[in-house]
Amino acid sequence: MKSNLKNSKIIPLIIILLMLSFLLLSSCKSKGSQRIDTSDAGKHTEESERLGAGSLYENDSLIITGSTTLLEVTQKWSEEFMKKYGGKITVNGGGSGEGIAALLNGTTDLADSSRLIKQEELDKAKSLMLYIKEFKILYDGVCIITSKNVDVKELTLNQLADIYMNKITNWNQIGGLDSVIVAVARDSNSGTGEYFLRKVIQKDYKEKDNDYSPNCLRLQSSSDIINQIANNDNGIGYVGLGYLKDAGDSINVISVKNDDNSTGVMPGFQTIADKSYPIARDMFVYATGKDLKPLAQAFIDFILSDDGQKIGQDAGFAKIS
Amino acid sequence: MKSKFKKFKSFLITRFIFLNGLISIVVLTLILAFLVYNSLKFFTEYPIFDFLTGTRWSPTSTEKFGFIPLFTGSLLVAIGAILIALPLGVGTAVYIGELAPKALREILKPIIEVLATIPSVVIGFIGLQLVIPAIKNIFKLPMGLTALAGSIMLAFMSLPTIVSISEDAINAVPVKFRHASLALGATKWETTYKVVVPAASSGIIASIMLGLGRIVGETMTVLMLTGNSPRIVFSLLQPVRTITATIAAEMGETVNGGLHYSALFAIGLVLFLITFLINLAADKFISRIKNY
Repeated sequence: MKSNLKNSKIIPLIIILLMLSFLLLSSCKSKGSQRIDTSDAGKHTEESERLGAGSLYENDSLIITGSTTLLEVTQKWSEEFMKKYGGKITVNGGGSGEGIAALLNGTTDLADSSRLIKQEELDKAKSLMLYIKEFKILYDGVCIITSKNVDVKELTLNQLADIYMNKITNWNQIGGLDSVIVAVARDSNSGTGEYFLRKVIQKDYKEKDNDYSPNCLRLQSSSDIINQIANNDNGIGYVGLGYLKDAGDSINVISVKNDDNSTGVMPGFQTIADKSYPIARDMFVYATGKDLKPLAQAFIDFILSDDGQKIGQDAGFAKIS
Repeated sequence: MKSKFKKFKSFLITRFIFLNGLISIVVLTLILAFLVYNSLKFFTEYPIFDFLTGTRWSPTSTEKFGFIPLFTGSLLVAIGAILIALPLGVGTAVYIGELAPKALREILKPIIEVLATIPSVVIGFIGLQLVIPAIKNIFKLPMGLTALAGSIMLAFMSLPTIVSISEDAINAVPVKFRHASLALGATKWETTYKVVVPAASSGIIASIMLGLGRIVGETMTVLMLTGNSPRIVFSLLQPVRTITATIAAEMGETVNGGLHYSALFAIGLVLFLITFLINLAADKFISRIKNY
C-alpha cells in the first residue's frame, strides 16, 4: 500500500520531468534546424595541412545566409573551400529576402540571392550607411517543359505569356493537337515564379498589370511541377535547368524564341551562359563594405574560379564566364 | 503543523491550476490581438468593401486582394468534405454504438481514433499518389488537382472527430429508451433510427461542427491537393485556392510589415472568426447532450 502511494507520486513527477526535457530538447533542435553547419571543418584543415596546402584562414569564420535555390551549391562550395584553404564557413538557408535582411542587420557576412536586390532594401542600406557590393555568380535557366504527348516543339515569349494569362487555351491554337492546355506555375513565394512573371508575362517589366491567370495551377516546388507534367497529357510548366536531369525522359523540354522571326533556342549550359536562351536569371552574392574581410573575398574568388564554376555547373547552373 | 502545510500545499496547487487555466485565455487573447494588430495596416489602407466583394486575388503584381475566390474555395472544399464525412462518420458511429458486437466495438473505436494521429502532410502525400490520378482517370480531367481531392482527404481527416463524438452521444442515450422502444414492438433498426439517433442528435451535430472546424482550418493537405488556382468556381472538379493554403503559400516571401503581409493577417483573422463561430456552435450542441 505504502509503495503504491509512493509510486503514484513518482509517476506524475516523471511525466513532468519528461515533458520538461522534451521542451528543452525541442528548443535546442529548433535552434539548429535551419543550419547546415559543416562541423567537420577541423578534419578538412587537418587534411589540407597534411597535403601541404595553406591553412590560411584557420581561425577565420564566415557566415553565408540566403536563397534556398543556392543553398545546396553554396554548401558544396564551402566544403570544397574548407578542404583546400581551411576556415570555418557556415551556410544558412531561409530565402533571398531573409539573407539580405540578415546582411543589413549584420548577422551574416555574405547574402546569397536568387534575385536582384530590391530598391526598398537598397534604401534601407543607405539609411544604415552601408555600402552594398554585388557579385554575379551564376546563371539559372528557366526551362519550359510540357507533357510527353504535346507535340508543340517551340514557343515564342508572347505565346508563353498568352498561355499563362489564359489567352491561349488550346494546344491547337499554337500548332498542336486539339486539347485544353493546363498551365502549371509556381506559387507567389517562389523566386522562379516571380522571375517568370516579370520576364515573360509582364514582358520584361513593361506591362506591369499582367499577372498569372487565376486558372493556372500553382504548385509549391519544382519537383511538384515535374510530377504533374509527367503524369498528365497536356500540361505546360517551368523549372530550373538543374531539375531536368532528374526528370529525364518523362517530359518534353521545348525551345523558346524571342519573337516569330528568331529561331528557337533550347536551354543548356552554353545557350544560357551566352544569353541566347531568353529566360535565364542571374544569381548573386551580396556583401557590405568596400573591402571584404579576407576570408569572404577569398571565398568569392573561389566561387568565380574555374573550380567553383565547375561545382556550380554540376549543381545545374550555367557558368557566367 | 502538518495540516497547515497541507493547507499551504493545496493553496499552491489550486493557484497553479488556476494559472494554467488563465494562460490559455491569455494566449487566445494575445493571438487575437496579434492578428488584429497586424491586419490593421490592411484594413486602413485597402477599402474593406473591395476586400469582401473583390473577385480577384492577385497580391504581387496588381495588388488586388479580393476575398471571394478564397472564401468560395474554402467553402467548396468544406462542403464536399462534409458531404462525404457525414454519412460515413455517422454511419460508422451508429454501427459501433448500436450494431457491432462488443469485441469488435472495442477494436474499431481505437483504430478510428488512430486515424487522427496521421500527420496532414502524410495524408496529402497519399492523396497526391492515389487520389489525384484516380480522379483524373475517372472524370477524364486534364489534371487531378481539384477541390474534390482535397474534400476526400479532409473527410478522412475529420472522421475520427465525427465518429468519436457521435458514438459518445449515442452511448449516452439511456438504455431504457431502447428497451421501451423494443417493448413496443419496434425492430432493432427502427429503434436505432427512430429513437437512438434522434435522441443523440445534438451530439451528432456537435461532432459534425467540430469536424467542420478541423476541415476549414486544415492547411497542408489542401495546399498539396487542390491546385491553388484563385478563381471562383462552383464545381468540385475544378482546382481551387483555400484561405489556409493562401496564407501558407504566400507568407514566406512577403515584405515584413507590407500591405500583402498585412492582407494575409487579415484573411487569417477572418478564418479565425469562421472557425471560432463553428466551434462556438458545436459547443452549444455539446452542452445539450447532458440533458438526460
